[in-house]
Amino acid sequence: MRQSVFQSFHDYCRTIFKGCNSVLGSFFSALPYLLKEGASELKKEVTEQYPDPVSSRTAADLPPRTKGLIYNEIDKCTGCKECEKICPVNCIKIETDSDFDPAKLWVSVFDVDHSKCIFCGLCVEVCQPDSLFHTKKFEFTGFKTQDLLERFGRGPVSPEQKEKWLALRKLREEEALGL
Amino acid sequence: MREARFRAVEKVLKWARKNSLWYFNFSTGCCPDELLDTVGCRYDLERFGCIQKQDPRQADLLIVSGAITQKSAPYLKEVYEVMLNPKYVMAIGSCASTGGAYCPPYSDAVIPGVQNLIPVDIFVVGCPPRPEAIMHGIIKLQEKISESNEI
Amino acid sequence: MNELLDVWEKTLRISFSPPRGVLVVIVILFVYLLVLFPFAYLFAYFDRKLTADLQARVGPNRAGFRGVLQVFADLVKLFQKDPAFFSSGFEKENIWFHIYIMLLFTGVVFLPLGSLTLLINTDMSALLPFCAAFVLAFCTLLFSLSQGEVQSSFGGLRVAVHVLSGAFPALVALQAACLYAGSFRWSVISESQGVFPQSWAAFTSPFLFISFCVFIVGGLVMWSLSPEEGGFSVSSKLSGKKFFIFRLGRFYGLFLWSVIAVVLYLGAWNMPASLYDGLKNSQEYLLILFIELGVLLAKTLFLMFVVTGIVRVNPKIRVDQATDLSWKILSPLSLVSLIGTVLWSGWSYIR
Repeated sequence: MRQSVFQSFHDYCRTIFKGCNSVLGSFFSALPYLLKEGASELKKEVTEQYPDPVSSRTAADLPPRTKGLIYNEIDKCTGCKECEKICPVNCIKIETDSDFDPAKLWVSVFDVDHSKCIFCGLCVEVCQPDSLFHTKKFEFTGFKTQDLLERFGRGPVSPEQKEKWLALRKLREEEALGL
Repeated sequence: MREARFRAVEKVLKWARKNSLWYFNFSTGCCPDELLDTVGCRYDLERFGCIQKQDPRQADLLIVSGAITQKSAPYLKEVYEVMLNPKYVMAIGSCASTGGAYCPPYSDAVIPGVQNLIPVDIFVVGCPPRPEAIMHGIIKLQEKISESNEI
Repeated sequence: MNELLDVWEKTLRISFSPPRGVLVVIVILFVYLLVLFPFAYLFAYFDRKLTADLQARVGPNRAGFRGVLQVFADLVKLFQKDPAFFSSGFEKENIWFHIYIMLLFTGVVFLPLGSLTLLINTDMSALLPFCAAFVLAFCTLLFSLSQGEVQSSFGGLRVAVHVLSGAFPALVALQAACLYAGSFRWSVISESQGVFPQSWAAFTSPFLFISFCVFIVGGLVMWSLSPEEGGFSVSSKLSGKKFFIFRLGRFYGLFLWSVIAVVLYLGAWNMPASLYDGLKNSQEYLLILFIELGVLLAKTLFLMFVVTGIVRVNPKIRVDQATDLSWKILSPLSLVSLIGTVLWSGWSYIR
């Protein structure tokens, strides 16, 4: 259908008006951001200036179920290697030895390679003694990938120490039997 | 005396270099989403003088975010070579630094870490890292630049 | 020009009379060191801060107090970059680039920056900056075409199309303004306007206001696609120091455009006549110079801020949109404003 000349001229003018309106409208709607003081929602400061602890959120402000870097309380750890088995990226490496306590193993090496870790949380779920958990810490950088390896292990056990433990354990057992 | 003066000039040069790290984002994974957040108004990356450049020739910092496959490796290398000195590389997330969930036992097509292709200056942990962690990486890189001896 | 140089001789209070060439160099150096460079620095800084504020961000604030030294840091860094090295003719030395630079740094001669710095004040002087802008765009085009790559050729064509589609309506708008003033001479244009807004050209008639809007929008269309933002095409040939020069080119284009818009439509550098006469009688030329510069630059800065604000909160337009806008809206409006101005200012003669 052919429009009348008047109609098309009217449409043309309306298009120009609409264009000007939208361009200027977006400018005026952005203006309140320039003037920071005031109670309006637009005038609020939204930027968190990171290294500054006042305006930015710190680790303590994060939600409780945040999955940060993994931490192992090595005193509780039994060395069951469940976490090592379930880890999908093989980022946990454990070596164990016999311990003084027969219910536990001496964890000589417990390395978590944070550069491989994908923060899935499976290891934390399977951990029986609850020694492994997510902290809220998230800042960790290194100049090499080796720097990102975190060691929780207690170090190797010397043969003398082992003998001592064995002797001690025998003594305890004898005491228990004697009682 | 003369050396002291040189040291002052050196300091200014390093200061300038660390305060305007224009970056090129080589994005192949999902970490770039987090990088977008970092650029946005909540965590403003421009505070550090970082601007995103669409062109590696104008950039100083190459941000590798995501797993690099054998197929995309030559392009990454080319992008790195095209950048002009002084240039820095930052690997974000576990995919870029070690291959992460896609590393060789799972797939041989993925390169276990960008450091096998190009020299990397700094690795940032996370999968993906929080915006704050990326900014922490930038701050560490700035410290590295100001402590370095090269000119 | 001779009168101008006489005035400068008096201003500098030199007992002997130096050759005229030396005086010209002094004027140009003055414009560079006191006006262009500081203004470029300030604008580059405020541009980033203003953009950040409009997007509810903070903007650069780690280099110096509130990031004042950010631009300095960028500059020093760009000058530290390696010169281009090159594999397989990636970057060719090019005469067009050198012409671009030469034109960029000599273009100041055309700029009307007050009644005491008008080196070229002829009957055609208002058209000269246009020629400069055209040649700058032309250099960009030829520079990219000569790189021998398809993408870069397309980038160059895009820049040229943007410039053409912005420049045509702006030229017609310029004619309307000069028609109102009665001449293309800078001094006549400034004298035809008053000190206060009601006697500025833009607010004397609705047609001149339309032509003012067309002039500004035409400038935006023309400078919105600088080589730096033209995608991978042209910019990949520029890096380090060259890139810095092109950044300067973009700023220069915008600055030139705003200064001309202020001179044509917003009352130029006019100050109250009594003050001007008083200063002239007591031969305080230096004071006149600075007051005029202050007035002109304040208006220019304000205009540039408004323009930057509008540019930064709206999406950039594509090439086809630019040509569409130019052909269907800007050009007809500029013609309407031209005819309207003719009728408006010639009404008494017609009757």
